[in-house]
Amino acid sequence: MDIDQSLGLKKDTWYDWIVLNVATFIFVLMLLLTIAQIIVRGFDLPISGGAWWTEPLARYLLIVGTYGGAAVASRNGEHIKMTIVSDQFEKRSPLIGMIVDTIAQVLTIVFLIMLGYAGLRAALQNWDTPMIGVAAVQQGWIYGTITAFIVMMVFYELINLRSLLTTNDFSQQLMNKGTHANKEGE
Amino acid sequence: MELVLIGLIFLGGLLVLYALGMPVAVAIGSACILIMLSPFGPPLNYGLMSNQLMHGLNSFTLLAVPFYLMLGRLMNRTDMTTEVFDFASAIFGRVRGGIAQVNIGASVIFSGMSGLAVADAAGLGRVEYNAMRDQGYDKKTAIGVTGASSIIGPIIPPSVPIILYGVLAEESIGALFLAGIVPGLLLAGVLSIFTYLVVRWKGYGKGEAVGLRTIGREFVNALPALLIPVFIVGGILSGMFTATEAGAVAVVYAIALGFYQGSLTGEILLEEFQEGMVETFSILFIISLAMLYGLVALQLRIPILLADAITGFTTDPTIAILIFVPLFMLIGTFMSITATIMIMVPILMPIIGTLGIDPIHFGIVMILSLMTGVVTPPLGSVLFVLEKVTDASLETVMRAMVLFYIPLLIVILIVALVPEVSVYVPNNYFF
Amino acid sequence: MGGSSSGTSITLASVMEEGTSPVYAGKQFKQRIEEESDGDISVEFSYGGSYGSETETFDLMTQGAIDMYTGGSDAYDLHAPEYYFFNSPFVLESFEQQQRIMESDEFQEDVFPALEEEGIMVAGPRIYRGMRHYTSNEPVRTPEDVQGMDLRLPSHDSWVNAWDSVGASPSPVSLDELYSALQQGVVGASEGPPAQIASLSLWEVQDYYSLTSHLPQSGQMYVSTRFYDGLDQSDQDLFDEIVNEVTEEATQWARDSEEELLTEAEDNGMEIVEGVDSEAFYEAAAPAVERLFENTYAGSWDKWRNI
Ligand code: NA
Ligand code: NA
Repeated sequence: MDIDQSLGLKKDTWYDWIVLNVATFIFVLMLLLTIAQIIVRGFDLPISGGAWWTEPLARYLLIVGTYGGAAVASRNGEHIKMTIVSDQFEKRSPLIGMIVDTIAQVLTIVFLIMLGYAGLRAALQNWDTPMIGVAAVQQGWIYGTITAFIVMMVFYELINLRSLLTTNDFSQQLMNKGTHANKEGE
Repeated sequence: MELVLIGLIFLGGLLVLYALGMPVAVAIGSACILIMLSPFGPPLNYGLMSNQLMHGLNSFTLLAVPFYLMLGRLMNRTDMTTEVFDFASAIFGRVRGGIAQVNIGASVIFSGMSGLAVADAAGLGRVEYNAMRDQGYDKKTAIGVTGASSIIGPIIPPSVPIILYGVLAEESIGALFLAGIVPGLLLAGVLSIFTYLVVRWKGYGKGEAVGLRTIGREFVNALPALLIPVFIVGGILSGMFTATEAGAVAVVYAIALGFYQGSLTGEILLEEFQEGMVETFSILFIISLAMLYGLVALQLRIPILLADAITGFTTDPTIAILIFVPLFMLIGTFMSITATIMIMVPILMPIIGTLGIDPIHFGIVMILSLMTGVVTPPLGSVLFVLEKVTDASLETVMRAMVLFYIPLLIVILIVALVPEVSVYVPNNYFF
Repeated sequence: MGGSSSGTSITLASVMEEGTSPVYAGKQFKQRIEEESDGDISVEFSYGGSYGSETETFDLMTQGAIDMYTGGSDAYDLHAPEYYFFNSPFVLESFEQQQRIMESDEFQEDVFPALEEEGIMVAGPRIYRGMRHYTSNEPVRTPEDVQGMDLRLPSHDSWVNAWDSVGASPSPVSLDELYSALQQGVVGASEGPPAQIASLSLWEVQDYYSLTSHLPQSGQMYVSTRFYDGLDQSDQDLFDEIVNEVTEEATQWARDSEEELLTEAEDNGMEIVEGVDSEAFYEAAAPAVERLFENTYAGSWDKWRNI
């Protein structure tokens, strides 16, 4: 039986490769830390203080990994969306569909820029505030990493916007509309 | 009146952004910003936003999401899904309308391993549908049984929606898992009886009985897969590990098995990790922004106003639950289950407390009601999957489901009105 | 969100549940300030963690999203971590000693400015919450009894180091999974004040509650500086007066209920182990505590204990 669950993730450029694999590495590390925790507890391994730090560390990886994964999702169009309404627009009129898509894309970018600004602000403010419980980890690092991934997300969404705008029939549609309007205007 | 106005702006803004086709996470976040910019809301606060980016995800229990999601992917990749189906055919194939009962039985067995309805439909759905069609069943019956039984997966543990509910409601995931067992089996039972009646009515005959030897052989084939639910539920109950850890152990087991049987290679595994990573983190990205949405709701006093409205109407927990059921069924039709749980649970928990409803009972009723949404137009994800894995058109798929709402509704009402169905097991084996 | 249509409205939050002394103080505060200001000041009190974890809630106060908080001590850990020794196990022996230190100028001169820089002000004296003791399925009287025992602790390095030094085997389990983890034997022991034993019904899964008295636990009310500075003089006076009253009453209430909760645990079949060699525990943890004072904490252990 062949179950098609492949997403065909893009690895076109060196930065695609880095973001994808850094996020995947974080993901695998979460699994390994949890397994390590079970092993240390279950077999009473003589590690000083047990493996108590695996728990907070796995949590922090989950936090930063999320934004890395979200960047990969932006690159590959894997964000969960509800396209039922915009599909209807597209069916009725490709032009309106395109305009709606473009508005959504621009709003997405505006939002992500605001989110990135919030992350940057927090990174600077909390640069030397420790994470509760693990004094060695600073909140600023976590916010900093989050911000870096959000910046990557903005970059990918800008690429998506460009490919949306340069889609042939869109400019075609606009041109047709433009000349049409022009004629009417005359 | 105040509640209606604020609620309209709050929910309306979100729905408009959804409709534009923005990513769900971005739509939720943008709705928060719109509210902050509006004269009704609290002032625009970047600190609040960054706060949720970190704190919204700062939970060990959330790790269960990546583990159980990975497990589902690996089961499909290593053909464990097919083995489960073949085993179920050997057992249930003999009764009247046998293959239809196999369809349900396979979903019950698979539910002990998978946590998402879509995983059931995408994994088992193709095999189940083709097997039923080969034996002469019409498209609608084949699709209806396949779609309705896919809902069993997220009710019987493990379950991704239950994990999310547990995290957001701060309830024990172990207890919630146990609470899902009886309702899940009840759903399977009611569905089985209903299917039997449909099959009789349509005049389909018996499947062929297979010998004990075949059953034994299929059992041995499926044994590696069948051990997974034993691990998970047994491991949690016997105290070897917590629900989150059980997910991690099951993933490692599936990987080891895949390499042993040769269906996994390093390259395939890396790809599975990469894709599982993207799927997981796009869900968690929604969670972090849904937490912001919940916080803004709190600043607008929505939970307090909503609680006042409901408690002003009734203080009877049973009546309140009967108000929630159609509400969730409605929401479930136009929002994804994960998004709904993430947005609604933080808002509803204070109300549940005020009304004196058991949060474990409430969680199971909520998830069961929301699940009807996955087989209901316009957004039911299982419908799309079924359209993909079968030769039926989306329209046929949608019409096929209508008849099968009957057993679903019966089960929802029983579970909603009789709390013991869900809370008996956790209360007696857990608390 | 201060300053709605008429009068002043205070958003007060707590991560703790009903039945804890900080929430008791919060409820009293709400009732009294609404009464004595003739409804001019109103309080919206959300407890039980609607605003998220304690750390998160403090960050929300810094961001101006809430005005007051009543609960534990994370604000100190976040913004003055060198002074967090007061909430580490095996450092201070009694609530009175802790109060004395935290009310001293030596303590406050560094800590208060650090908190105020983040927009957080301490309101009123410390609120007693109860002594932390040890739960297990075997009686515990000396450090030998806990050797290698899988002990659930909050994931905090100073706590883990101290218990590790005593000889237990610290293991992370989140509080909402604690009951099941103990029941199923994922971990064999936990520690906490009587209120925690009662709220989680730990007597169903643990046989002994050994009075190790390793940490006098207390809490605090806090107010955002932005909000407090915005009040006029008479409102500030009223605020101070009521906060002082309710925190002291909450401490008294906690002392009374601590007794009741111990009796409740006993009535539910938990054996209270009284003859614990507390001193031996403190001695066994001392090397770790000394190390913490060398590396992390301000001042010396001796200096603080002699205040
Ligand atoms: Na399941
Ligand atoms: Na099925």
